[in-house]
Amino acid sequence: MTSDPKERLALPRHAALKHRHHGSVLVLPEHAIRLAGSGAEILALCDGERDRRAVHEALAARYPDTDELAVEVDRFLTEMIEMGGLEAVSPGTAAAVSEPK
Amino acid sequence: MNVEAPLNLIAELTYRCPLQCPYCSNPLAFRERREALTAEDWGRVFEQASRLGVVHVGLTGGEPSTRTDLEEILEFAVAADLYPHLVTAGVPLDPERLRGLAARGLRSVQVSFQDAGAAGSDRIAGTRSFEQKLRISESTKALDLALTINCVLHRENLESVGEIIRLAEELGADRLELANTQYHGWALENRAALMPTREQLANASAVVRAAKARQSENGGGPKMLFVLPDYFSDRPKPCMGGWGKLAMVVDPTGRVLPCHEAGEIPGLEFWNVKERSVEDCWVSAPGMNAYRGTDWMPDPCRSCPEKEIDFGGCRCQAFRLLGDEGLTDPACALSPHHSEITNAREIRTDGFVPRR
Ligand code: SF4
Ligand code: SF4
Repeated sequence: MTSDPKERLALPRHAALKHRHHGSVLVLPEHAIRLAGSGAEILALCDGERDRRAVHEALAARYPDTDELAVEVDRFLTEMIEMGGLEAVSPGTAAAVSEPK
Repeated sequence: MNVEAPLNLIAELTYRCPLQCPYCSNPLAFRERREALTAEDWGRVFEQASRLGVVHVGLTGGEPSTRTDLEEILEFAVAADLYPHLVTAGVPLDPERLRGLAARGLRSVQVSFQDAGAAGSDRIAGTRSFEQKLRISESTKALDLALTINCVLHRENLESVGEIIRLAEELGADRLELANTQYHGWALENRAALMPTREQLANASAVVRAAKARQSENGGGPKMLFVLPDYFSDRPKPCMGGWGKLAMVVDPTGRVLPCHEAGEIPGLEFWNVKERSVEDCWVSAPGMNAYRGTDWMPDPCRSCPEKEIDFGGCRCQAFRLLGDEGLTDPACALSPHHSEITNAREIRTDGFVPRR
C-alpha cells in the first residue's frame, strides 16, 4: 500500500475509542482492537481533517527526539486501515466523531 | 496462569426464539433451563465486566427481542460504557421498538437471514419472518446504526450466495457474514442434512471472490466474511480467539462460559454471576482454567508450531465427536481421529428436523 501524505484519515463512522485499566481499545461493530503504546493518541489525531502529513507533524512536535517515528506511525496507520480501524475520507465528507472519553 | 482481561461480552439474554433454525446453537435441552437474570442482574454484570476490561457487548440469545425489558438492559449496557451490539433474527422486534433502542444508545445491529428470498428463508426458519427482517434491516440503516447481515450457510442455501450478497448490497449493509454451519447443538443433530458438497463450497468461494473484486473496482459495498468450514479445511477454527482469552459468554442462567457450547460439557465446573463476581467467575472458575493457554495440550498439539494460532481447535467439538474435550480437535488433519470428520463430510441425507 502506498501512503499518500495528503490522504485524510478518520475512524469509521461506527467506531468508538474506549479506555480501560489494561489500555485503550478501538471498538468496531463486531470487533475490538487493543491499541498498544500511543495507538489511541495517534487515532485521536485522525479526525478526518488532518492528512497523513499533519498527523506526522503533530506527533513529531510532541515527541521530538524519537527516531524512526515517521516509519512506525506510517506502519501503524497502514495496519489500522487494513484492519478496518481507519478509513480514508474523500474531500467533502464530514469528519467522523469519536465518542468522548 | 496469566489471565487476560476479556474485551467482548456475549450476553445471552434468553433461550427463547420464535424461529426454528435446524442449525440452532441453543442447547438441545434448553426448554428445561430457566432464564435467571433480571435486567438489574444484567446491569451488575455489565458494570463488573466493564471494570474487568470489557468494551463491547453482544446482546443475543435465543432472540433478545423476546425480552420485554430489553430497553432497560440496553440502558444498563450504555451506562457501563459498553459498545452495544444487538444480534437479532428480526422478530418479534419491530421498527418502532428499534427506534427506541437507537435513542437509548444502541450502535449496531446484526440481522440474520436464512436465505436470499422469502420462500427459502421462511422455510429454513420454520416461521414467516423474511419481510420483517427486511424492515428491520432498512430501519437499522435509516437510524444510522451499523448493519451486519448474517446468513448461516449449508447445503440448502449455499447456491444462493450470489443472491445473498446482492441482498446485503441492496440493504446497504456494512458487513456480510457468510457463516458456514458449525456442527454444534441442533446442527450436529442435522449434520447429514446440512452437510455441503465440496463443489458447492468451491463455487460459493468463487462467487465471493468475484464479488470482492467487483467491490474493489467500484468501491464500497459490504465487507464480506467467508471462511471455509473446518470440516473441509484440514485445520480447526481458533475457538473464540482462545478459551477464556478474549470473549466471555454469560448464558441465560447466569453462568460465565468461554463459549456458548462449553456449558454442555459434563465435568467442567463454571460459576454463576448470581453467586459470585464476574471477575471471580472469569479468572478462577475451574472450567475456565481447564483449557486456558497451551499447558493442557496433548500431542499432536503440544509439539505443534501452530498451537498459538488455533489453540488446538474447539474443545466442544472434541467432546461431541470423541467424548473427551481434552483431545486435539478432530477437524485437524494431524489428529489421529481426523477420520471422524472425513467420514462425516461424505454422509448426506435429505430433510432436516427443525429445532423443537
Ligand atoms: S469451544 Fe467450540 S463451540 Fe465453543 S466456541 Fe469454541 S469453537 Fe465454538
Ligand atoms: S495439531 Fe493442534 S495445534 Fe497443531 S494444527 Fe492441529 S489442532 Fe492446531
